[in-house]
Amino acid sequence: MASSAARLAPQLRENGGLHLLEVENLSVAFSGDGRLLPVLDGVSLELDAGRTLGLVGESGCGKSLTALAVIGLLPRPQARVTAGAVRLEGRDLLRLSDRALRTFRGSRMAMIFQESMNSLNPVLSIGARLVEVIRRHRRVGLKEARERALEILARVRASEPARRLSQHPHELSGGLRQRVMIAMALVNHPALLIADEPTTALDVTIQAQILELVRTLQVETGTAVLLITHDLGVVAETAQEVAVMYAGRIVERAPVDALFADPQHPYTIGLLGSIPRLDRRVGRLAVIPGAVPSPTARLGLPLRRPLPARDRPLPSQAADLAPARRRPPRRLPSGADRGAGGGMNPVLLEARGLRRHYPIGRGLWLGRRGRLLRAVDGLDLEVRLGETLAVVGESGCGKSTLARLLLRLERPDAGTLRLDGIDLASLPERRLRPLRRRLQIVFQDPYASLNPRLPVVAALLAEPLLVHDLGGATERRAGVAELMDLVGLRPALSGRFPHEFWGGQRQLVAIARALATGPELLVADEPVSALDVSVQAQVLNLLADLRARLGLALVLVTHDLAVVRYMADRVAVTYLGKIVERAPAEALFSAPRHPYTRALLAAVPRPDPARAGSRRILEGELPSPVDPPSGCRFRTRCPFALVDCSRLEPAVEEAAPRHDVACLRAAELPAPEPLPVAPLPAALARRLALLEAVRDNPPAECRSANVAREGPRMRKTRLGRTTALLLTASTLFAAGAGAAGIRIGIQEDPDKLDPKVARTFVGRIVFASLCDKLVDITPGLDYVPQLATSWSLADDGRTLTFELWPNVRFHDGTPMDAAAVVTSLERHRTMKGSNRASEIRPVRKVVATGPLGVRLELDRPFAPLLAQLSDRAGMILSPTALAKAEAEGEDFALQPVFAGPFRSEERVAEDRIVLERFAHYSDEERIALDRITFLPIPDQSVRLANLRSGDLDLVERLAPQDLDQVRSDPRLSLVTIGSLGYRGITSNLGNGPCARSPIGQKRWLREAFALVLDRRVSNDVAFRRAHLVGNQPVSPENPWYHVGLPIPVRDVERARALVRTAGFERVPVELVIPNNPETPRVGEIVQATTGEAGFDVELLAIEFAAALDRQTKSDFEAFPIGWSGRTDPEGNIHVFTESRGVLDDGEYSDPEVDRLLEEARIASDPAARKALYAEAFEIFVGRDRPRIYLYQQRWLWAHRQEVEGFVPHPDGLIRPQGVGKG
Amino acid sequence: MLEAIAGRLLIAVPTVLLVSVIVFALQLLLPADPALALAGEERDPVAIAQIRALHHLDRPIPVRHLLRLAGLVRGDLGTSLETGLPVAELIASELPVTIELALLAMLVALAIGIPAGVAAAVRKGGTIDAAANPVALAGISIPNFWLGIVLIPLVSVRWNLLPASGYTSPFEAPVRILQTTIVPAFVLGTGIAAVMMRHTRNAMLTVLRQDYVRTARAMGPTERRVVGRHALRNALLPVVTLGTLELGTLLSGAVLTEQVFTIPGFGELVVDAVFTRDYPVVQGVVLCAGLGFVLMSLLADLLYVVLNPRLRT
Repeated sequence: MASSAARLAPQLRENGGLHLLEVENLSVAFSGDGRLLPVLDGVSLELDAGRTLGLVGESGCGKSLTALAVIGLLPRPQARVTAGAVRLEGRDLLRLSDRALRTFRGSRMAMIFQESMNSLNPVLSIGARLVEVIRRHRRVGLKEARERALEILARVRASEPARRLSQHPHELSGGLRQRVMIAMALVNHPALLIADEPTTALDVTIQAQILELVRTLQVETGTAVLLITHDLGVVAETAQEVAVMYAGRIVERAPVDALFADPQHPYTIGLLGSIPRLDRRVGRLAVIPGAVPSPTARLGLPLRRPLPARDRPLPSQAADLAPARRRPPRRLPSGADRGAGGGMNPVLLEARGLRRHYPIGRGLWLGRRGRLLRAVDGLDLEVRLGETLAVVGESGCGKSTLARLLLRLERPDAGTLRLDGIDLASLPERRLRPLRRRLQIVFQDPYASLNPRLPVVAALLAEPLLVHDLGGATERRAGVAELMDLVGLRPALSGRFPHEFWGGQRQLVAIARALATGPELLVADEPVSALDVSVQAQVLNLLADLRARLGLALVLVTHDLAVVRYMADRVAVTYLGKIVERAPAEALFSAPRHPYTRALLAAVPRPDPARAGSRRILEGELPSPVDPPSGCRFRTRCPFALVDCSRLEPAVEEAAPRHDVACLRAAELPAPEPLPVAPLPAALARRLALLEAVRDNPPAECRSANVAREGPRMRKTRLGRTTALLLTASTLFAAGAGAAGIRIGIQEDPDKLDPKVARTFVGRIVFASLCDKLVDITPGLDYVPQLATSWSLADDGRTLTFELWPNVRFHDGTPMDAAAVVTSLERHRTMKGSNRASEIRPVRKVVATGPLGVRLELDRPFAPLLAQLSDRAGMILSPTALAKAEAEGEDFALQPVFAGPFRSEERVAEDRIVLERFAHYSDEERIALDRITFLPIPDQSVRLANLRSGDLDLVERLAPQDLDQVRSDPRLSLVTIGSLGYRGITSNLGNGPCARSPIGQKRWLREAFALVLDRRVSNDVAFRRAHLVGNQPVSPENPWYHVGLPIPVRDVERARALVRTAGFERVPVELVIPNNPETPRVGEIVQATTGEAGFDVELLAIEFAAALDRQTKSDFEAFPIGWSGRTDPEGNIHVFTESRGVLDDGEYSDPEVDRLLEEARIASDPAARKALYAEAFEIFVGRDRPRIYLYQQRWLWAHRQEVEGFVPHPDGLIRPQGVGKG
Repeated sequence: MLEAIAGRLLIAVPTVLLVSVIVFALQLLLPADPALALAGEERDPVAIAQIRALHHLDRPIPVRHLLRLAGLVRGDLGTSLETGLPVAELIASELPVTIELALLAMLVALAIGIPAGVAAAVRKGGTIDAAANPVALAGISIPNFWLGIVLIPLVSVRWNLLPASGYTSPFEAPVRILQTTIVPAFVLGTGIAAVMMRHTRNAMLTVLRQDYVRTARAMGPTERRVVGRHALRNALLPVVTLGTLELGTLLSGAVLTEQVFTIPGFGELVVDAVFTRDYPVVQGVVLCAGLGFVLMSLLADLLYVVLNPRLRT
């Protein structure tokens, strides 16, 4: 227990001369750039139980590092202890393991930090945090831990401790958060408490409360306190001993009284001289020149402050400043100097009834009315020429809002704001702009208020001149130089960016920027609260000088009453958006009237140990400006408040000449004790004078070090391990494919499996297993029986009769008979929405001639009819199932019933189609499979990968570039056959304006194009020779090929000659191509090869559907065509070639060709038909060339070795008959 | 709270409607007639006319949109031009797949991204951190589908561990489903994991520098507790936003990955639909995805409130 430690301490000392904490010769270095930069250099301290040691110094002097080294939280890995020892209760902490040290932290020693919004974990409740800290170091149950938490909260005087337990940090005020942090630190009764700037961010009244609390708790527990602060007042009030640090060393150590009365080290002297003090008014603050140098800058160099003094007299010709020249400072009335406080000067800016309320927590919905945060609530104020008006108050008093309002950076909700009689409050922005140059502002944070991307000269300072159109480039440059000179910055710095300045310099830049337009009023919003004391002195001195020289009116918004005392002529004290007291500075400090002003003044710690201690501390905290107390807003904290104070709102009334107070009891309150005026200790005064002398020759021991903090490095954790566990887990499952069936990878998901409407090619693949047709074809394109056993065509070609197989059944068990054939064919022929109607258009009537006999009657002879009936048009479905589907309003395609070898088992869109073997199939002995699963896999390479992995047994349409893979894989077989289709290039001959292209008009050019095209190369390069070079609508392997028209040999010379004959040198051709993977490659080869003969092919690659759109709208000169092919040549030729053929996009028309094709359509003798086609080919293939045929695709399948009996057909379908799996 | 949720849902209605109008308007800019795309290579004029009539494609555009909106109000998303199936049904059948893949991918992303990000931040400058950046860069740069194409031969062909593609409904074969979706989820997840890792790392680095972490350390907890309890929960806040946004994107379909692995999700559905000009499906999916996004951002807000007590009051 700490109290026992207190008792123990003297004993320890007696026993071995031990102190509670002994820091001995501690040196810490940072590693950077491969070097060690010393940041702490031989620091030694001792501290005994129950005592407080103040560690003071400016930022970067090493005081926080010392504390972190003690508690073992130095930033790692950058910082390293290079020498020394830290002993707590006799144990060397530096030699402890991390683990052991952690058990010390929070139990034997604890640390509290500067309060910030983030000093407590925002997501954890106060109770959870306290319980965590308690249970980390004590073996207690949850319940007991909670009791202890409650107890300690009460002990740190947290209001409503029970409620606090369940609250989160954001629900607490800053003071309360700091109390919670203290509670966390003290809950395990540490022997040592390190407090690092514990009150820095708090308002003075709260600071006083917290310091008082620390003192009280220290007395109660005997804890030793190491107090780190930059605030000499805090030290004077709290510590018994003080150590002053500078640049990593302790430069002076003394009991607190001695230090303040008779400082020895020049730095201490400077520090004491540089702070503005509440208890005396000084003419000018002492300045420590330069800044704490960075460690890299002075590595190994004699450490002194090398920068030139910035606090030098201003240039005497201030009136000649460029900005000021454009707007000369007003001549102040005689006698208007600082001593008169500007009180008699004319009013520059006058605010009356200024009000600004912010809506908060307003519901966006349901018109709920929001509440108002009354930041500034009816405020009167005037600023006179050349005076400094200070606005003071605690945070939340509306000071900063007021600053913004005064500059009209925000528009007030109510009230007037007059500048030279013009009311700025209601002025539109446009008219406000020219006035803005007269009003400028300097913000608190020079880091945030300067644009980091703009160099100081080019933009920051010149920018205001530019914005306000003040002078040309040369003048602006001169203006910038003068501005920098004015604030004491070397002109050499003008090219630098804000981050290259240190804090104080940055604030000087910000001031220079504000001065650029030659303002009359400068508002400085907490201009020095982010700066170190010595720098603060420089900035304050500068502001004071500038005001005097330039005749500026200065509004100083600050919480720091000492600064006010140093700077201000008049002071306005605000509380919750209202002014409570307004008076000349001297009057206010010597005789404050309002209880709030009195309390504020009393709360400020004095850097004077002799006077520390006895004072009244203002209780409670600032009420919320959302819900200000009624009547007098201060009444909730006022020690003099009466009942009336809650009912009546006091007006601001004159209590003494020019001294206004808003308090009902102002007159009757006892006169406050006059603020003691402390004379400067003689020794300090002497030494300050000396300091001026030694400025340029500082003592060598002023070693310095600055510390750049990096994120702390952490100990090992176990979080790194648990990555891709899921994958390894999943590999436990092995894949299994159905053994009884095969899985076929197809290019896409088929459309409806109803032959009436089906149109996709993949659909036909599925139909081959699902649905038998009247006839089928062989690989050699002969017709063979399927559902029909025989057929005959009448001599006139107008009657086709079929005899059906007996005993054939549909999947639903109903018989496949003549009636079913009639139903199916009539459905195809006549039903609305049938895609088959055009295929069998010449059929006039379908009649049953018997149970198994069917007759088709035709309008005219139609040679391709049998071919059509070997495909979807000849597919027969179950009339029973159809009727049932129709009756139920179902789509037949969802549960199709046919007479094929497999029946539909399941279909999942975009996923799979599963077919099960049909037990009563008529040709059952040829079926060896139980199940076929079709899997749509669009990517060809992925299809192949699935095949190789064994997930598929057969895939269709391999990519030509994958052929090598298939050939080299012993588990796979490649199956291929020439297809019925072709590829070529269609030219627009007669369709619309695009037909007027050279290639559309000149037959010779098309011939030249066909001659120069390199069919072989394009097949080799684009398709790895997978396809067959061709020149006709049917392949050279096809029985209908016309051998009299051989594939032309490429002849560039002749092609050139033809081009010239046609009257051209170069021929432009626009080729519209769909941007699928293959076609652009073909296009490029066409482009390259035809170029030799003078063709300039321009490729226009667009998406397929868009390309199709252009084709049908004849918005093309030429496009590559691909046709899947039909069994009968008619399907490959007629619609493309006959006049007004549906697919004759280029509108080729030749009467002779029309005649020949018509005859071929009706001729029933194949030999005669072939002769007719040959004659037609001579014309449109050999002469007119509306379409240049390039090659015939081959079908490319691959299957696993286990698959047997697959027979390829030119139609590309996969017939299950004979297919098995070994 | 409830009021806020109701408000957000209410605002979703005009948002989604607006999306619908925009999609409808945009698709009109697409050249090509859906009827043509649907008619097949034969392009039989009779068939085309029938398709036009059936799907009101012969009506003026405003009429078409009104018909569609009228359908929407009735909850009818229309029928697919391509398959004739109700769009709602199509979506209903693909939605579980999409959701499952998205969730699994997100799981992968979280399982990799967060621990990796934490590890990289905790040992900043260490091996994991040094490795994490190039790996993350690779993860972001490598296209998902390419990774998929590479992984399929590796995992399924060479090692023969998992089926290469295809999808099984979760209701029929729970093991198989994991097998078929784990690789695509991994492929999708890694890209997100990379982004997530970097976000987590950055957030952790920021949080680890926060005062409260220092405060926590001063009370002597173990590093594990500092990282896990004090830092991570705060660092997760930005990651949650990212995660839900990514999830929203995943829910609108992982087009290429679904293609590669032939997973019947939104991506595949919408790509097919765009190419065949199956507008009702495109609209249905976009509408659904839009709704998904609205819900995801709502989820993000709710998670935020759960994770961040500052928003509770």
